[in-house]
Amino acid sequence: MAPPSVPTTNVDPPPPPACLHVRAGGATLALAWDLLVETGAAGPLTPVPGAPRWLAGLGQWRGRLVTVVDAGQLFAGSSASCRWLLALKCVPCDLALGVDELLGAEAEDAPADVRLDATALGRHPAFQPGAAGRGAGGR
Amino acid sequence: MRGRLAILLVAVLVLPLTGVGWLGYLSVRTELVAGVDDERADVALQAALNTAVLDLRTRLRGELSDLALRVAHLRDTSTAERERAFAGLPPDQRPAFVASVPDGQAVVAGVPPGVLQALAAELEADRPLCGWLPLPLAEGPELCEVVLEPRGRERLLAVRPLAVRLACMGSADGLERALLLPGGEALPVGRTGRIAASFGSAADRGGLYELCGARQASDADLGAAFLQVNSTRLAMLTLAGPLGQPSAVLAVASPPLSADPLAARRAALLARAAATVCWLAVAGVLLALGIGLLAPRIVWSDIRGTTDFIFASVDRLRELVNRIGLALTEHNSLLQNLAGSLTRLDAESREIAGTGRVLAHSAEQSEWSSHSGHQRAESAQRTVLDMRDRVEDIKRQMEELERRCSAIGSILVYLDHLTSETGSVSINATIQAAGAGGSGRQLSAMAGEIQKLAELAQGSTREIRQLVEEIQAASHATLATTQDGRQQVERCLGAFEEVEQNFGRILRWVEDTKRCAQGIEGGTARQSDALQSVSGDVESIGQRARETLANFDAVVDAADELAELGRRVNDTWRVG
Repeated sequence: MAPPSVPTTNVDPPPPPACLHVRAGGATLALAWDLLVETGAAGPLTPVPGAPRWLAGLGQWRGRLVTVVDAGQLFAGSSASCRWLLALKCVPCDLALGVDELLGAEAEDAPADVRLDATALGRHPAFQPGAAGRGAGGR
Repeated sequence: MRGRLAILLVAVLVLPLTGVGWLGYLSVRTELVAGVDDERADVALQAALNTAVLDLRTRLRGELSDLALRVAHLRDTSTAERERAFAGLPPDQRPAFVASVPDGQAVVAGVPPGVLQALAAELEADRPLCGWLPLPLAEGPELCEVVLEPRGRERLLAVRPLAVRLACMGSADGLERALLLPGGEALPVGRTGRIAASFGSAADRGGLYELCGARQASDADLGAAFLQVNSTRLAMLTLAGPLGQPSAVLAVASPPLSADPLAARRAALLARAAATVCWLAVAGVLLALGIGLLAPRIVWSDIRGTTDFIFASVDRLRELVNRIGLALTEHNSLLQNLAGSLTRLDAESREIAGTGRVLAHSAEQSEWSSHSGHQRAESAQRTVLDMRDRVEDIKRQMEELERRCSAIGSILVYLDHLTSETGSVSINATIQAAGAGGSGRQLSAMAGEIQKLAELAQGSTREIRQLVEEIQAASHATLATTQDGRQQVERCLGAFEEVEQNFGRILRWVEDTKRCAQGIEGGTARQSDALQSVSGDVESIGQRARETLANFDAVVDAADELAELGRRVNDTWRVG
């Protein structure tokens, strides 16, 4: 089976896709580019005793301690494997979303179960200061 | 008439043996004269012995007057002790012990009353019995029993007079027991020879006996020993030996012999012989008369019984001949049947022999087929073994293929990781391009291309994984099939081994069958020969039976002749 040919880029490049589609807990999430800092494979996570269910644990990201939030548990109601981490900005702390799979960049009108941008994320109770201590959305 | 003459002849020849007639008289006289001659010789020997006894008595009377006899059981006692024991007695009162002491008993003869008193005194004094006493022959005999302690102490226990009778009277072979004691015990005074003679009347019968030796003493120790016996008492027993040697003498006086004892004896014998001859003659005459009267009737009766028996036997013989003839006829018929059966049996034996040959040929064919099948089975077994080796090779190759597929799976995992990382890098580039605004459009485009390449690689990796999984499934199925094939090959090998063993057994059975068939063939051939021989024997037996049947006619003729002979005997003797 011959590999597919790579298209050449002699014309003007099209505009970049509007968002990044990921899969978490069986749902497709569409994240705006301005929310993301970086993506990468997740390392081992340390669970936090007494934390809400959507708080997957603590991990390290390029030498820094980050809080990993289970995107499936938080937005789809079922746990994700958290194989991939999405480092977020516009949040009060070093925080990353744990998802099952990176589906890739998609257009804005591509179907998705949940659409997240900076505004929606900022209003979400889980990302308010002290949300982990209150157990918002937790058990 | 001829019968009477025969009876007379028998009487003449037989009756002299019973003492009738002149021959009988001669035979009886010869017998009596021979007895008288024997008695005459015995009387002469008696007289000679009597003379010798008288001479010996005279000589011993002189010698024994100074002779002291030692008791046999006191042989260990010293002379001084003996003399001291009876020193107080006068010489004529000292006892003379003249017998043996076998087990504490002794017989003493010629003991005067004073001696017995002395012995009683010794007994009361409980002193050892010892001493020397002369033998007073002139005083007449006495006989007493001396009882002593058993050997070793030799003490006198009792002295008892004995009434002794002689046990030798009437014995013609010799004097084996001289004295018979009252208690029934026989005291062997000495071994004697035969009775030399006996003479005189029954009231005054005396005998002269020769002592051939004395008990325990050898002839060298004994000078002489004689014994003369009468009907009432022991007459004389003498024993002489060297002084101081163990010996014993019993000596008593005997009555004088008559001067001529032979004349009266001879006359008595002749008178008895004459009377015997007369009585035998009378008895012979009476016996001859009786035989002459009774013999013809007895003979006629016997002849009549004999001829009747002959007639009955002839009739019986004829009946038996007839029965035997019938039996022989039946026998001949049975032999003919037997010959026919033997002929059929011979034919069947030949048929069995032919069947045995066919069976042997079939066994040879089966043996060849069994050999061929055995070789085929061995070849097939070798092929199956080769097939098993090939299945083993296939199994090893499939296992190697499984390992290679596993390695490819590991590589695919790594490729998947690489494509995922590539996708992540392209997304990060897109994020950076979005942050750069319009200047990041080129970067965003390249990130998109990289993302597409990563997705293509991921799709290819997925297809390769699917192919590898299919290969692995196929290899697993092949391995299972190979395992089943290997088991089937093993079962096939076992089956071939069993087939080979069965061919071996069949081969042995066929060989056994071949040998049995050959044995049957040989046995039936021998049986056929034996049957032919038996058939010949049966024919010979039939021939013998026919000959026997023919010979019975001669037997019947002989029986008729025998009956004719019986009739002639009856006519000759004028029997009934």
